[in-house]
Amino acid sequence: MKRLGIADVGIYQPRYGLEPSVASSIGAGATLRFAAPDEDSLTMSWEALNRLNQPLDANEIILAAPMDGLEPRALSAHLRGTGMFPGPTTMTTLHPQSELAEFLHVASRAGKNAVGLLVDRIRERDPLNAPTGDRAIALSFGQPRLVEVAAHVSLPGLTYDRWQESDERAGRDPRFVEDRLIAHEGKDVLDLLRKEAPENSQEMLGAVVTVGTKLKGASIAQRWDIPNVWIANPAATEPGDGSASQLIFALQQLATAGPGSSVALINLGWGASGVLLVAGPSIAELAEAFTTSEPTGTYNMRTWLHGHRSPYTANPWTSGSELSREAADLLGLVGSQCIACRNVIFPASKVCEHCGAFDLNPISLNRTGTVITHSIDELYGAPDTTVQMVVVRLDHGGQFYGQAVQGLPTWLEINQPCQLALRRLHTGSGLPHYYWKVDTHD
Amino acid sequence: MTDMLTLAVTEDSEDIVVIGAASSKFGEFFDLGYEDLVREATFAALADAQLSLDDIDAAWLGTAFSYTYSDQGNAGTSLAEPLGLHGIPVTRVAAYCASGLDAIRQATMALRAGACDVALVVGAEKMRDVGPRGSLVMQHVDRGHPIISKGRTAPGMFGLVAERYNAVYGSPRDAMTAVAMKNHQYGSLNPRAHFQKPVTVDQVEKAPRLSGLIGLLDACPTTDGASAVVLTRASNAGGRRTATIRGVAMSNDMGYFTAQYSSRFDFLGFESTRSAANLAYAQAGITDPFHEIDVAEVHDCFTITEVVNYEDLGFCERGEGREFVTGGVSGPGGELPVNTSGGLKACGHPIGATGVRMMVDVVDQVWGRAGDRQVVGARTGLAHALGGPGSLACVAIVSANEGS
Repeated sequence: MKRLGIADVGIYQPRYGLEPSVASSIGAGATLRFAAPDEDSLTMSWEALNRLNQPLDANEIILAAPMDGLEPRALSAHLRGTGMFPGPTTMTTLHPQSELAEFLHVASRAGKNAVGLLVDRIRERDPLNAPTGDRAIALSFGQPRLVEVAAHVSLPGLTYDRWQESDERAGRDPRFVEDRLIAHEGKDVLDLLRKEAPENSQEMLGAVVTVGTKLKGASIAQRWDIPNVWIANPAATEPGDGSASQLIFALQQLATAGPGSSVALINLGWGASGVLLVAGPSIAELAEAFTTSEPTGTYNMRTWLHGHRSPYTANPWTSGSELSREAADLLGLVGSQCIACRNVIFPASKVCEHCGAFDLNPISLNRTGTVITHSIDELYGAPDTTVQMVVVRLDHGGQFYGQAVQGLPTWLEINQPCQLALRRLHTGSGLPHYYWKVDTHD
Repeated sequence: MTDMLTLAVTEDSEDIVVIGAASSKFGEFFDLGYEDLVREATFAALADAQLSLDDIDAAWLGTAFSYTYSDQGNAGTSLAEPLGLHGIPVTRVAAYCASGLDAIRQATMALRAGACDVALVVGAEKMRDVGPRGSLVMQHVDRGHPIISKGRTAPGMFGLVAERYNAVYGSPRDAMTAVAMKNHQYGSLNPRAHFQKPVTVDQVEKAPRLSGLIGLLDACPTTDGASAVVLTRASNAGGRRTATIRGVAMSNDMGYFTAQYSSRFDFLGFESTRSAANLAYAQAGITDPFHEIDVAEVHDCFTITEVVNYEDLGFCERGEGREFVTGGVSGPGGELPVNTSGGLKACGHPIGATGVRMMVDVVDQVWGRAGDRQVVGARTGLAHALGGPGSLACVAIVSANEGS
């Protein structure tokens, strides 16, 4: 694999937590954060892309995300609809549990015109086995300002196959030697990474290892002769068994250590692979990206299991053709501006509501604004959810009306600065619907 | 055909008058259908006018949301069929909650134009035939634009006004409670009202929340009901008791799904009400509504709506609606009693019927037959209906004639 530069990184960590009883039932860490009920891979991707520091100039998306029945092309269509991408985009979709090495290998072939999206949304796979948090990360490939993927290795491996035969309830079966096997296969991967990029292996901080069993990282580290081995397995709370979590954890180590430091990411199981990440000169830019906020909302067991499929979203009527006509302007936040009186109207209109003129030009609206009024509605989402409906005067013109995002710590108030965020509304006629909701201002 | 229908229309017979007005009882009627209610209101109004169905040569039907309730009222057929009104034009009018009053406006115009001589206007809605899933609230959740305004409910739309009013002028809570108590008090005296019991401060303010400041007892109910009026030109009245429609106007000022997106909406009142009132006042020659109007039926879908209606209709200055009700001006014995029927709050709100029901109640007042709710000396009344989230409004001014 040729070396791959990562020029920009956007990390999104959602704000929902679990009630302690739920966390304890499913064995998840109490500090983990999860997507709110109105978030999914599409909206988390949008959030991650939105956190990139530089304008996107990509024409290809490489995606590894659980899609919950949503077609990947719907994700690319919505992201394009919001104006995220300057032009047409192609998309390469990987399995949501693709290994990071595979993901980055595909990215290396796409090169600097690609953006990568990795989403961990564990609940979609198994809500009763969600030991790690939800996260999304967007990677803009190009110059290795932040990180360089210096080496890539892929080998056949069978560790997961052997581990699977043991019965955990009876304790670990001494006949199997997975510790030693894993150590053996993992060291093969690590040695090959070192061989491929010897100049970047000197300051290796350690290896983040994803493997389907419980291991003692310190013991493996000693065998591999590196300072740290962080095990990402189902019982751990960090760094997680999702690729996004694994990568974010590795980036955090690099940002702490500074330019030139390196971390190996190794996946062991049915197949063994690894990559070596090297911190670039601007890695410090990421220092603020890893902060985890206090949870703004919590799931109880019922809402955790139902998520956005709660009974109130009972398949409302929709019109695909109406959406098709209007989506570009609605998702793109394109309104109309009266040539005569400069009034800005949203949704786009063919007549000025102020002066009655018919000559209007399209205008892109700001996503930021101020709350004019609101109402906390107990009927719309009953019995599951209280929905706050908010009217926002957008900065530089136009007015917006819609739901507040779920998971705000407090209701939005009149005169409060706010911004619009892409969220899932409901599923209607079998189609998930997305639109802008109102969030607090960053 | 009666003799009066053979009279020629002359230049000085342009005034359009009400000669008969009646409502069915409003409420929840599992034993009565849409057609039963339409027939009950119509025959009562015809009896009031001392006419028969044969005298009607055009009819209008106000029904707002026919799709919600088995398509009843989706065309004039829904009135023609139960009444056997064959061979004459019967027109369905839909203007959200102002459907009934707009039907009256259209009948008035047809009479003025000489297109008919005696017009029947019926407003009807049968809302209690469906369970919660088919209710108006849920229909708005389930239908509508695929994404715009999704999450909007009727209480939520007016909750936005209550919150803004609170931020700009101070809490409207006491005034909203006063509106609820006043209208339920009036409703307790109205044998046609859906709810006929007074409510207390505690009941209003501790009721379950619907949206923000709006609780269950700040909201009108959904109701079954029908109302009817018979109109003709004054010169055709034939010595009957009459009330002249001195002005009737409608104004469309906001979109339906997009009203809250409009920067013209200040969330402190409704431009459509102000526009329609100004037009109706101009037609009626009214320059000082507070002093020239004796009684009013206004659109109190939610208590905050009545508060801002006082201001929009020019009964008081903007921001003074709270004192208008808490000071007793709009209550029994006040200078301008409002919603002496009990309003939408207590009568209930069969949507298409409401505007016609308002006309019936205003006519009852100016004809001096409002019983325990009678405003002494009332001769001029106002009816006001608001449609959608303030999208449109209708206002009518009616005065009793000498001898009525």
